[in-house]
Amino acid sequence: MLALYPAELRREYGSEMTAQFLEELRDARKRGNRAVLGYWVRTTLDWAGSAAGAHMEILRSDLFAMRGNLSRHPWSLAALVVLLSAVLAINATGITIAGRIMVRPLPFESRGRVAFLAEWREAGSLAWLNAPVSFAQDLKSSGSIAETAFINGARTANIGGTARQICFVSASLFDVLNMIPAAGHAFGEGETAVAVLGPRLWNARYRASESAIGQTIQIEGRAYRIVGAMAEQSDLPFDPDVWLPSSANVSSYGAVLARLKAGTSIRTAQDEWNALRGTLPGNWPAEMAPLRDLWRDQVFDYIMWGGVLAFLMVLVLACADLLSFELGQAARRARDVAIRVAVGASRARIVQMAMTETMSITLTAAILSLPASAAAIRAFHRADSWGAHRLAGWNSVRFDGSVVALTIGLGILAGGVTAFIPAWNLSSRDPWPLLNAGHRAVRRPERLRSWLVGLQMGVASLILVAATTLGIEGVGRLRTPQVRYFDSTWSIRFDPRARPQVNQVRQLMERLEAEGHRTIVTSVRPFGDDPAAMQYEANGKRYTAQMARVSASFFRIPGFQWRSGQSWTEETAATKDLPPAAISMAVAQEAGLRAGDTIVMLNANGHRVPCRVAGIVEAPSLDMYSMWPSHLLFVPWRLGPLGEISLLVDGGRGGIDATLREAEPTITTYDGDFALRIRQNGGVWNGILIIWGAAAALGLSLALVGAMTWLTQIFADHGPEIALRCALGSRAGGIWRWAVRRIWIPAALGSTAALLLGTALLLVPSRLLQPKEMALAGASFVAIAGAWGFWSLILWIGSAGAAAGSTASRLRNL
Amino acid sequence: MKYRFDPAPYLPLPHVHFEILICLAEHEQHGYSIKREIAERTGGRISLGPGSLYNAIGKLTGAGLIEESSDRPEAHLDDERRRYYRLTAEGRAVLKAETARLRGAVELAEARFAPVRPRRA
Repeated sequence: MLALYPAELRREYGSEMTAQFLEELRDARKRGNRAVLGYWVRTTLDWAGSAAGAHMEILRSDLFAMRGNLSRHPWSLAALVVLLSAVLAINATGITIAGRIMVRPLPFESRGRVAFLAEWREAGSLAWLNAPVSFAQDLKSSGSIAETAFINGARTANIGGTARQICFVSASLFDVLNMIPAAGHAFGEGETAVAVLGPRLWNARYRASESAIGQTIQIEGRAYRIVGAMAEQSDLPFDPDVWLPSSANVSSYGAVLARLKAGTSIRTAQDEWNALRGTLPGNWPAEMAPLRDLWRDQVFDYIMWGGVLAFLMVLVLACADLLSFELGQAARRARDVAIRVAVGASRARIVQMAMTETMSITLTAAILSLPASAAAIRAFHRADSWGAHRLAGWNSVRFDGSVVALTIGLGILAGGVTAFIPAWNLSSRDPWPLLNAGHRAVRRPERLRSWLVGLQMGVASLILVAATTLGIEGVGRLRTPQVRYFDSTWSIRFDPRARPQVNQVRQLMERLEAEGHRTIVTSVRPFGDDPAAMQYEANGKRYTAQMARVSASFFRIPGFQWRSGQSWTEETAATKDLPPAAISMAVAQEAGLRAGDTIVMLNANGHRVPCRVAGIVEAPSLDMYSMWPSHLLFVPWRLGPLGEISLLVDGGRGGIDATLREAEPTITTYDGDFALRIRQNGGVWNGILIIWGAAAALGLSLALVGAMTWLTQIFADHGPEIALRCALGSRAGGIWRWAVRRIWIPAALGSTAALLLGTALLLVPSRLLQPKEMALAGASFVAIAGAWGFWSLILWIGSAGAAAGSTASRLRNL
Repeated sequence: MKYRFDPAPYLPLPHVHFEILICLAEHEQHGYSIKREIAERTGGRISLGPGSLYNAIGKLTGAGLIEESSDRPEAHLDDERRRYYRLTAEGRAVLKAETARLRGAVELAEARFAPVRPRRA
């Protein structure tokens, strides 16, 4: 119990306290067990209260001393606290967003991890594998799988005159995803003509009333009895209006998913699937992937983890600033500490005193950062410009108690790590060296501070290299010819209820073209959607690729180059010959195809559509799909339902609006402007630019604050020396050289190390940057040289100020 | 110039400190005896545990109101682990000032709230 009292009290009164305790205990024993118990209770309460009180007393006195110390540098302190709170806010926000989207378990994972059969796309993203749904049954034999389910269809249907999303699923899906209906029950195996309502339809049509259960709903001309209704399911990757049993859809292909047994890893499930698929007909090199990763791709992960890393580096810079500030404080307090040590203050007491000051600064900054964290998280939610709401974990990204705990924790961690070095340095047991200003123990912090400035310049340079590299790459990607081509393009969807005809769409296109608008028809909107995976046969073998239906005008987009063959025209596509197809280089190489060869497209229901290869397309333009697929097939837009296509029209909305309404008032609907969609896709790179730009700005600010603090301190500490130099004829240049000599080695080493590390990390291994490596390296050199130049200018201004002091002030200093 | 101690900054004294100063006003005492006297005097209402007692003694010593005494009792009555404390001149001045402050407060309370005594005819 004594150990919890402050060391001074323990040392002074410990033996007496022990003696009194034993004496009182002996007296209590004479009075019986009850008295002993009562004494223990009283003593424990007294111990808890008095130990806490003693520590609070010390804390109060430390805080009082701290107030005096810090009030001497109000502006430095204010700048430090503001910057630190900004850094803590941005770190807490970044870690919260990354953690909740990528790490924290989601509600549907509460009974075990859920995986799905996926295929990798070229750019590293995962997509559903369109597999036989019988695989769900086959997977049940796997030892690592607890339950399986499948989805064998999802489409838009007309329900009561409104387009609604319907989804055909196996009954086990509700169990796999831990979905419990808010009213009624989920449908069971073998039940047909039953439906479970999703929250949107339940609210819109039945006002979330339980009276909906038992009623009948007409979908695609068929009656379904409503057996259950779902409330809003947080972070579920599916969100249809109606769930229908798989038996209501004819397709035997679809998405397969499984809940893993507790403690089973995805890798184990993958190994078992690999063993299992060898026994299945056909070649299905699928991945078992966590369902939560469904809507994420490597670019998103790259942004998030890159951002977290960037801001952690900025936090290191902020800690270095704080450390530099505290080392300066420690140097000024050396005499005070020496006296305290001489009169018996313990090392722990000195460390505690020094740490109180630093921890108070970081905790104040942490508390001040909370409103900024809350605002940043709200802004992140509002700025959902790239479909982030589909990400698993999106709904759990909010400001709550754990963000507060994280922010305070970061503050404590930053304060604890930062405070320890000056505190330990200050708490030297021998008080005499601390009284001598020229002693090594006193001068050590000054050297440490100059190395800290070098470290800060290095870290700031590293962030600058990353920001410059990614900035150039991002701006380049945001301003490609394809993006510029679609700058003012509108996207118009055809209303499936109006049952649009091919001729109607063609007439509309011709009319718009005649008025000077460019038009493209496509089933997959560039810069927003991704082509769907499908299978095709060529030369007797079956392959997988991604397919988009497009009009001939699609190939007018800048960047298309033909390796062989050429694009089709609308006229040739309409002939009774085999429909034309354009294939990417990767498809041609994989299947050994040439222009004029025949391929057979296989849709999910097993229909076979033979096509003739009209041309082989070079890859660059395919960057317009966010997943950068390389295995692509383009076929004429008429080979499929018109309800799924979009008409892209170039021109101002005012110009095309009247034409569209006048021409086909019944078949067109607007669903947003295409220019916005392009910005949405660019949002990924905008995100990278904003994150690294902010990190670079914060990093440079912190490095500058650190350098300024160092400069102020050396000018203050070496006032007599500077005065003497000025008296002997030195001017600003001389003082500048004197200051630079003290810092150039750490700063040069820091910057060079940062540049080498930045080059190694960012430029060499990145396949994105191959054509621009030299330019990016050059830009990074320029950026670092700019930072150096700016810093030198500040140093020059400081030197000029020091050299311009009056003769009287110089004499005073001397 | 003669130094004159001003007790005002120490007032009002925490009640436990006041009780300890009263104990030491008469004679020197060690910690446990201070605790026992306070407990007896207050009918057991104030029973200081070792932590509270020595925390208070530490503060009073630090403030210079009490000090350790070098006088020890007879060897057969002494326990070497014990330390004896006595009031300093400053402590006595603070005790007096606090007593006067409390007396003033009591008198004021009595004047305002005590039942009015009937005047003698």
